[in-house]
Amino acid sequence: MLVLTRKKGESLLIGEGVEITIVDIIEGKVRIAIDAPREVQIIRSEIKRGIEDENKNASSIATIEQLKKLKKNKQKITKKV
Amino acid sequence: MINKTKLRSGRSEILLKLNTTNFGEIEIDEGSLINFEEGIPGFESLKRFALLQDDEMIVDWLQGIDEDVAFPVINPFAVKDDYEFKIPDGDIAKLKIDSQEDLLIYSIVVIPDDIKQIRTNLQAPIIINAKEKLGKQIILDDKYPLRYEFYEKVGS
Repeated sequence: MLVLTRKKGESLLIGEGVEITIVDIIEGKVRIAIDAPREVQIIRSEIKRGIEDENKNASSIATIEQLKKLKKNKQKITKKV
Repeated sequence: MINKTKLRSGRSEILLKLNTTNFGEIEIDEGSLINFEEGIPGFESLKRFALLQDDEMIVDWLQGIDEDVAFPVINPFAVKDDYEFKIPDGDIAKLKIDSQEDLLIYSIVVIPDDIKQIRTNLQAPIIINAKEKLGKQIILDDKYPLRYEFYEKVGS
């Protein structure tokens, strides 16, 4: 991993077409401006990690009992309609 | 018991036999498989899925082919009627989308021990281009919750 130091107003380039500028540093927070091609998606790391964790929760094998409950619920809805 | 896929491929008639924990042995038309070229977050090596649909069940399933992993999925508009989002341009290109009519939209469901806490991930919907058999879990900004509970929409 590369670690480097930048001051307010300085920037750095990543590959072709991605430029990151340090806009401001206030009270422990860094404001960053990112210039990138539209096809480059920029996601906060914790959002990506949350989605990974939630996908893992979803993939744990659902028990048959839980599925039966779902089916019942669906049937109840059908009857109501 | 789920035993069929409704996504039709047309020509290919190569049937794959899969042994699954959730559904026992199932047969899937290889031509109906959906390719997730990037996998999905947390499961980057899972590239091929079968979409299993069962009218009796409230959820459909994305069943992994190369690994026995299944994700329950639901139509997010059925649980949140004002749900809306824009598919990023990069994803439109990756999924080769040229008509909205080709799209299937899902969100992944978590079925916890307490069924009343059943929830779905509205922050990262699954987009499937049924025509091209391409899929991706796209990540929206944080406008919609990662954990959206919807039992009151389906329970009694």
